[in-house]
Amino acid sequence: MRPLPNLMRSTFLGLSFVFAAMSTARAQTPAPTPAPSLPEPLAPPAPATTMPQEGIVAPGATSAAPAPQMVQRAPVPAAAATENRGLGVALSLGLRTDLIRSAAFDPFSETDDLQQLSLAARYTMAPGAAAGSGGERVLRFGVGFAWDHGNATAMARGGNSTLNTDRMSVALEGQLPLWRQLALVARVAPGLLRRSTTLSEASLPDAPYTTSSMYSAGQVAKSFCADASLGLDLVVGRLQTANIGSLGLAIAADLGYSFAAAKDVVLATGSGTSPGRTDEPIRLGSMAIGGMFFRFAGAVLF
Amino acid sequence: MNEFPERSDLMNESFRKMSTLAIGLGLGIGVAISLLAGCGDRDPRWSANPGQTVSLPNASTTFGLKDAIAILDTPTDRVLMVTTDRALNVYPRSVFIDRNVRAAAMPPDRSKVFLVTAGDAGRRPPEGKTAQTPALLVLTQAEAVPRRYSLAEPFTGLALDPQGQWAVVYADASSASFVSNPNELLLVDLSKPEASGTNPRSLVLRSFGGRPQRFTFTEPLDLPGPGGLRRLLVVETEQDVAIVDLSHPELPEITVQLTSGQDTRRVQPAGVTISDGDKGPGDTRLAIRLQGDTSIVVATLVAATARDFRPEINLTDVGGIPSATAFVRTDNGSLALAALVPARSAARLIDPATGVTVDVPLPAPYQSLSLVTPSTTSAAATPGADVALLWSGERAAGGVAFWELGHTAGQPYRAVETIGVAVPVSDVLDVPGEHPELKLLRTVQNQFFLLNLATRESSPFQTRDANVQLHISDKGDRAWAFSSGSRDLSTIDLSTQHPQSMAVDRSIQEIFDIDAVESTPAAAPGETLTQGSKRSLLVMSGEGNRGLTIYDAEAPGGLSASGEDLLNRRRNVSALLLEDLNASAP
Repeated sequence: MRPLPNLMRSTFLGLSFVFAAMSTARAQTPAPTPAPSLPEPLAPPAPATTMPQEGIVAPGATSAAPAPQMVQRAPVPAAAATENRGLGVALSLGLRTDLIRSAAFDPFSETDDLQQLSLAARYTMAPGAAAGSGGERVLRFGVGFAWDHGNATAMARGGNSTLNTDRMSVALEGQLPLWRQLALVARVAPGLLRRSTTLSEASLPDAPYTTSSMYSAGQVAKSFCADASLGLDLVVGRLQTANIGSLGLAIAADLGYSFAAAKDVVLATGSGTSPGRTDEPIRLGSMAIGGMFFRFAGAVLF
Repeated sequence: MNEFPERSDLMNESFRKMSTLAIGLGLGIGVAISLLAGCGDRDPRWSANPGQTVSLPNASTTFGLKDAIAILDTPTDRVLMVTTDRALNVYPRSVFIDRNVRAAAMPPDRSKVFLVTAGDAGRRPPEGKTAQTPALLVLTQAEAVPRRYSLAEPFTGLALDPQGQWAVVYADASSASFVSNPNELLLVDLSKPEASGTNPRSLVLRSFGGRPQRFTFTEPLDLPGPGGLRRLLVVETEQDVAIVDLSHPELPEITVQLTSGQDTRRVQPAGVTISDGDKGPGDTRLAIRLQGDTSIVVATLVAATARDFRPEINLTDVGGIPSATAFVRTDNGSLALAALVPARSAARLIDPATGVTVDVPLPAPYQSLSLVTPSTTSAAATPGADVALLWSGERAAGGVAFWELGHTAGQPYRAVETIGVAVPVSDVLDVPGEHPELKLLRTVQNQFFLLNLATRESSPFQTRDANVQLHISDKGDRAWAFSSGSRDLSTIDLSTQHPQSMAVDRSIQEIFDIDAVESTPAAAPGETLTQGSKRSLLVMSGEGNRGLTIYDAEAPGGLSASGEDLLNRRRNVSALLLEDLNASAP
């Protein structure tokens, strides 16, 4: 049974990200250091009660350098989550799980989920000058590129089967800050999906003019795909130095639906033929690498 | 006292909130992942290894029906029914069956496949499945759902009526039941639907210590009593023979006891031969050979008072242990019982009415005989008299001979004509259809013979190894020779006697010759042709998930006008057991 290890692995990884981020923040917050004198070029004007910027900003915390005599409790605007945004560029690495209900997926996986490694880069555009001031929630837009690589292996009635997927997509997203460092993210990502399937099968015939079996048949198929998802981005820490500018760490989780064109799984040996001979491919039905998906990622913010 | 919180307090508070948020987000992620990851496993049939297919005693797991092949796929509880069309396409279709197959058989007419299933036999059914009881299933190519007869017990023995009307399910030696009665038979009338208590009908044979070994369903017999022709079921046990009247299965059976009450020796029947005799009732006879005994028991079914008939027993000593018996027609069409006695290199003819015997010396200790249709033999045969083909499977005494029974009286020696087959013959195969005058003789050596009964010619065919298997087409125009586990396959034109090697792309397990269906779009797969239909030769590979190569079974040898080698035109289908695997049970 694969679900439990998969679940444990994913949950463990997810929680590891969270606690690693927390640990980083905890380790750095007790020692506030004077902020390097690097202004935040794209940040909106700070409210009157906010402190001058410091080198390390714990999530939701504001501190001052030099320290003031008195600090007043003041409401922190929701827009603060993204104020300290640096260049607006984020690189993320994460895990994505697709729930695939196609019957033709069964030969390639013992469960209905496809685990994928997700690599993405995005640029979040700055809000308009008028927006964002005064602490109201500001909708921001971003564009990015994502690559999801998935792999599934199983035994299909005694034969080894492998499925590899590569999904290249352009992500268009909107971010709505909810509270401090937390933002709601809606994302659509049209793209191209490449699917590679292989099956080892002892009943495959010999290659033409030989007496050695080919034992393996495969297929590469491409189709259009599109994701639509809704998720949360949480900035867990940000470092601002004179040398590297603004550098942040965020975690993101989103849940969505992936659309992909169904393609027949037709596995052929591709070894040519001889006169009079026709080798039928192995047909396993129609497969669409689509359905509900969940993605969890850690991101470095520039 | 400072009325404002310190900076570090503010930071700790923020950090606490952040931690709470992060933990909440982490838990949410975990829940979402668990929802996705736990959303379902694949269909368990994809995990079922075909190597786990149940091994049935005395039965194959693939059956060549007339118009399809039926592959028993017990790990997925289905039979894969495969048909072909004239364009060499295949149409696999799942027919779902009950769990735990215990026995499988196909009648000689190749119209159906019979399965005995135990179902769950009182155990908990698999999750999501309904409980199944023992059953006899009848599958045909045309029906999507098998016909079902519920059985009282999950028996393991199955005997079929060659005429397709009856089936007997019983507890054979491989029965897995904690306690079973081997003499309890479940008699199924296949011409009628299931009826509680009467079809299947439970029949417990009176036993004197024996258990059923062989079942013989007779032809319709002209027996004493009203009701016209009727059929019998003859059951041979280890020490007696039981006769069941299939027209009246509710009546007790008749037992012919072979073992004497005063003798500790157990006399076991070795084979039964049945004759309806001449026209009219009262002369139906059963000849029972005895294991290791020189006597033959002849039971004549004569009119009785308590019931329609009773056996009248006669015992005839043939001077040696007989290896084969047959009722034959001799001069003037008179009936005789022929018995081969290899120890004396002789045959003995017995008049069943009088018990008078005639010895016929033979040139070799022949062990087997089969009657051949007189019309297929030479014109010299006496009209109305049979011709028997004699052969021996022993290495020391090989050979084949014709025994013309019409010439026996007065000319016993000249009545036997040997032919030039000097090697032991292991099997004689009839050729149906176009060439009933031909027989194929398998030998234990690396050759086989094509015997022409009309011309008395025997043509040898040399093979590379001794384990060659022969398959004759239903049409009778050709035979195929192959060696199981190899890539060697040849076709033999039975008219021209020309063998030709065929191209094979993987190892051969079995071959089948079936009707091809119409390939026109209007005709549904499964519709068979009747007259002049094309046929397909299916070569099965047993490796992996089974491979199948389809040839045109009627393709001529050599090149066509267009230069195409039609004989070797073929289509390779692989991973057959992955086909139609996602189909749902109706």
